[in-house]
Amino acid sequence: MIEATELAQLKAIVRESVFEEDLEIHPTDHLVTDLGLDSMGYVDLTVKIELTFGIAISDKAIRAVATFQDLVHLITQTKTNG
Amino acid sequence: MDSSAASAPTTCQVARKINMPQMCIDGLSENWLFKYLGANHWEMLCRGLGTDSTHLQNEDGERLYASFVRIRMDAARAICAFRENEHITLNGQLQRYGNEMYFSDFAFTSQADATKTIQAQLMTIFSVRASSGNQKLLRSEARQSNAGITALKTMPAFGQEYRKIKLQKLTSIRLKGHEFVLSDAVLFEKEYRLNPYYDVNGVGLIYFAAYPTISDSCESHYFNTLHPTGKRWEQQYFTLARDLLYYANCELSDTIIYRLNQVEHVDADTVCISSSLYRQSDGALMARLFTVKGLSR
Repeated sequence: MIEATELAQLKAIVRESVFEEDLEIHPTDHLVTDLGLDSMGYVDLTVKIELTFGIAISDKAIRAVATFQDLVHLITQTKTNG
Repeated sequence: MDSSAASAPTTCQVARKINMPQMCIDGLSENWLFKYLGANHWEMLCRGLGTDSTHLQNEDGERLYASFVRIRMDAARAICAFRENEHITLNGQLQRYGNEMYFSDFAFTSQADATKTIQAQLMTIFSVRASSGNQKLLRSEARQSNAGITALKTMPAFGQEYRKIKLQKLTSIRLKGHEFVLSDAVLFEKEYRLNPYYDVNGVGLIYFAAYPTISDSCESHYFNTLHPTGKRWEQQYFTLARDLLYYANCELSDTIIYRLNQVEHVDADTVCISSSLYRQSDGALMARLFTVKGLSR
């Protein structure tokens, strides 16, 4: 699991990546269809996550992410596995 | 011939002389300039990745192509100021954002007259063909290590603006001090049949440098028809600045629809022009072009 502060950071990153400061984000929200992330947004999201959480995320792994909770799961897994 | 003195793989410093192949009607060819900037961007990219272009592949072994996303050029004086036999220097550097976006900055300057200078920014991503055609290009990343290319910590405004416009979060851009409000109004429309001997690059895609030429060709038809007597449009107005946002490519068998969206004469010598290119087959937007042209006296 990631901590509450990290979850808040992640939501802020997603909001920045879709240029929506006040966006409500729910765990089951789809990054593309619900939150409006475009293909270049995935690149932006990846870089911001890597810098904020100090992890490396592969292109394949981020492309497999569909929902916000998938993203949380990916970060948790990546942090755990190193 | 170019003489190169680059100090690092992702920088370039090139000197050359402008002659007829680099020129078109009454001055420097913008089409050649775009190709020249694109080639130097591409060379820095390949040097940074430690490979040549034909060996650029993604993890699945698919050939990668550099897709131009956005190009902006801003000339201190209209490009017709560059003359035959003029010696120029091109300085450039390339950086990346993440593993997929590459940004270069260039200065193209006359060696004899520093007031003749053009600043340019280019942005590319890598793409693969999703089918045998040109309509479906998918974003991808190189399997070669990009550790030799300086990584940016934030996406440059140049890329952010492109995304915001595409996502309709931004409705205007500024170029050379002029504001261009995005418009889909149609003042004039013209079909353009692709010229495979000129508009297509070595891998069968519409060359990014062909887009402004196609636009200029159709645009001149409009202005020359509007003012049928006197000097031709192409000999009166020359590019001062251009911002080109790319969205799609097309098949050679397709036809391009040019749309003139806005024309604003901001003063006696300067005109701001917004135009766009579409695929006829499915109506897809291929590019938006924002251009500032100056009257040559």
